[in-house]
Amino acid sequence: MAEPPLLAVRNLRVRFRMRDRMVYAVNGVSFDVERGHTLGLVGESGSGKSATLRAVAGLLPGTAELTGDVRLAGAPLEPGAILGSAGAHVATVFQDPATHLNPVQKIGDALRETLGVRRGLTGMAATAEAVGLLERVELAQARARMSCYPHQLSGGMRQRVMIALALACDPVMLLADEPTTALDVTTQRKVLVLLKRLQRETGMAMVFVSHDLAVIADVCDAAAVMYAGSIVERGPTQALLAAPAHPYSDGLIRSIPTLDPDAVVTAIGGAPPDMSAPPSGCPFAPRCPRCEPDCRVYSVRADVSPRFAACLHPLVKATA
Amino acid sequence: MATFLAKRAFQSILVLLIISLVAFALVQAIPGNPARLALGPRAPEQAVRLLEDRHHLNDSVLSQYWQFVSNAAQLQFGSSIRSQQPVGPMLLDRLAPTVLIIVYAAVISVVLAVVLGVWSAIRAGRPIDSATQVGGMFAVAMPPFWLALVLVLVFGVNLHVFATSGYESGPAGILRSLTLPAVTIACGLAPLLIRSVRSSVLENLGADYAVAARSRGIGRLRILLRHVLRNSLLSTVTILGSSLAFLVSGTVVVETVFAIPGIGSLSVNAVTNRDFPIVQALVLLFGTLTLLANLVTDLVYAWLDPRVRL
Amino acid sequence: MSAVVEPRELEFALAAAPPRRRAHVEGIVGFALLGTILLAVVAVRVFQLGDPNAQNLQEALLSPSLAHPFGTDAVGRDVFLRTLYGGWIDILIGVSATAVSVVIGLVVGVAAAYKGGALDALLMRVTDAMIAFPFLILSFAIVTITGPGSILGVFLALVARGWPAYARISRGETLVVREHDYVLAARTLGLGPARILRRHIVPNVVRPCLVLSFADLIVNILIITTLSYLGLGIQPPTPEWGAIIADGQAYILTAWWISTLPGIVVVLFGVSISFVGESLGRIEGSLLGAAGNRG
Repeated sequence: MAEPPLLAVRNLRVRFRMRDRMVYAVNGVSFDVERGHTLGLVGESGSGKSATLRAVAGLLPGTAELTGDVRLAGAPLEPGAILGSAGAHVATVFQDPATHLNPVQKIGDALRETLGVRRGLTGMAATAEAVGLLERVELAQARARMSCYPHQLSGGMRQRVMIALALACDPVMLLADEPTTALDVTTQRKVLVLLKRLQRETGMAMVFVSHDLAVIADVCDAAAVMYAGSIVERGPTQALLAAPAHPYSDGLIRSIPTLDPDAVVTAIGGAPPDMSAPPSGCPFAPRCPRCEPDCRVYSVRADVSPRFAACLHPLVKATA
Repeated sequence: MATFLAKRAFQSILVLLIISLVAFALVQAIPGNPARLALGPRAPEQAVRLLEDRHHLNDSVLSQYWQFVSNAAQLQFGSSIRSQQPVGPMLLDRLAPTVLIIVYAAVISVVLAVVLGVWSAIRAGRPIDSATQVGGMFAVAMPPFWLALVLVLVFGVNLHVFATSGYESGPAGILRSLTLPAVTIACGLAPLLIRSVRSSVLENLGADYAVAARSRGIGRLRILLRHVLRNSLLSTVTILGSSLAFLVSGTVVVETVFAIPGIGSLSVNAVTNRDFPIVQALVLLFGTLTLLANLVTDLVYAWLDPRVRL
Repeated sequence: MSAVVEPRELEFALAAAPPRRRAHVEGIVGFALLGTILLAVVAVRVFQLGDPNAQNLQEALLSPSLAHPFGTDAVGRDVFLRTLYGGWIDILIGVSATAVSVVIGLVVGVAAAYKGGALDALLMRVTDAMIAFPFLILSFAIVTITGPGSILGVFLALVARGWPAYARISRGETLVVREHDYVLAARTLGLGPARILRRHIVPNVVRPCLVLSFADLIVNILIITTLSYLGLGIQPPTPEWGAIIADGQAYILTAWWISTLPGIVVVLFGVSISFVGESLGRIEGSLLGAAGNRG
């Protein structure tokens, strides 16, 4: 029996109780992440990718109701397991480092605090380790920066601090929620390189959420394309990008502008559906150029095979 | 920092001048002859003339103003028309009970604000939150003198726990004689502070940095105490700073009801007796204190919030 | 293999779940209470339902009964009747002073923000100082000039205390709105300042002022009653809430009802104003919300 995947998600559903309606953000998402691998969750805003990540991280707000099965290293995931000091170690890196750092706390104190809670380090040991972490994320003048406040750092530096804080938790898996979206392109590159290096060094798995296909292509071993709360296609990144099976993935790839002046950039017509009233059948049907009558009635049951497309009439056969 | 203080000092002097004008204009604006009004219609003409001279009421307006300002700068505030006693020392003598009441009331309010404010925020929407909010609405609508009377009736007379009049010094005396006055004032201030703390804490509980801290496994209690509270107190400090006005006004009423010999009760008597030197001195005194309080509040805020640069 | 996990209630640290919507109890109670009090206060004058100053020494210091719901005072006057008659002057002065304060504050604040410069800076220092100045001392200063017992003095004292807060709010809001993209767009289209002010700035500025005005009304009424209580406002024998309570103070031990019961009416009035204010805010919010969702 093969070793169970590090992260196994089955039939995850998340809905938000709003004041006058329910929003069904995630509708039956299933995937596996192996040790040391990176899975990318890619999709437009509102596709449910962030909600999925936060569900796994146990960070959904009080208005959320979720069902499904999430297992980390074979053991069912309870909020306490991630968010307590015992058990599996999962850390999260967020999109906007400006708002995710306490403005009145020096970053050295934040690091020492996390080290104290997660690794039981105090005093000089904690300080030394904190400086070490800052150096690992390539923050210049690490020791001096320990007594800085977040607003005294640039965006890229703040994100490095966030990554350092995540590392302080000794994670076996890193959850990254659009970690580079708020950064300029050059800094984006550097942070991605940093993340890949750290992953190589620590051997941690990563779930990387982004709307940017290029970033996903760069960083992830496998990618899962999400639309309207479901995974519509999954597979090894290169294979998926070279020969997408699902019309949505295809449309997504075609809509990326390239430097080729003769290339045609096409947009996907229409708009994503209203998630408070999920349609029956395939959620992409209204916008799909290949839509057939049966698409509006039936949808493909999600499974966890490594190469998968939720389409009755895929462009290519999606086999591993 | 130096430029901030310099700018502040300059602006404050301007405001103080305006305040001194107001204080000075008080006497000028009184219709009729202030000296005659103070002494009453049956006082002999000679007495009135004497009083006029003593207060230079017949000099030119400009020279009167100059007299007023230069005296005030030397902390000479004239003497009470009624008792002939010098105003400056009079104020000083009665300072202690008033200051004690203000501090006591502030402490009660802050404690209530932190406890009830945080509790309401954590349990937002639940009964304790609604009860606190409604309770606050009732508290704020109570006329302070009425509340004082009710407290006297219940605690002073029926339960014999507290004194219903007078001021006793010393720790036990303060508790006995100043608790009811302080509680009366706190009733009007605490609801505002509670609301401020509650809304700050609510905002910060859901803030991104709190979520991020939680994601690193930092416990809820620790997040509340070391992260949320520190950020929440910022806006509350500002409100507390501007509540000095309310506290002082409160002392006027409670000192009258509870017969406490402080500055508050002095003010009421001064107005009733048209004793304008005292009222002038009070306007100057509180104007200066107000400016100081504003300055201190700004400084404390800057100290607490590293993002603020003065 | 995939067991279904129960939906879980997440801990407060991740932002408490918003409260369930409950019926607008406070709104109903507030309007009902306010309506009742206003009706009683107006009806008693319009229909001349008795003389609040009618003395009857035979019936002095009677405890509350059906004939005299609030009892009688030292000279036999019906306290309940006096309370109803007295409310008129408090409410009238309170509402008018609040309204005038709002208008003055609005004008000063918007003008200061729009013009800017040294005038704006000075104005702000002055309003800051005035807001932080003890309002009772300020009232004393004004009453010293007008003389105790002058209604004009009371009115002026209220307005003098009230307008700076609205000036500060208006100025703040104007500064914010002025930089909004739609205002910049209007200016590039060549729309004059008057029109921009009227259509864009003022509506946004008025809202927070109105929100404050409810709490401010309560404060004003409390100040009126306090001044009267101290003998500096409305003079006897005119019935007025503060004066009635002051009258009863000497008899607090024997005839407690004279001071305590009218005070309850004052509190109920204030509470009803709070409820109404809150409920109006919610109504406006949901109206805006519904309109917003349709966009």
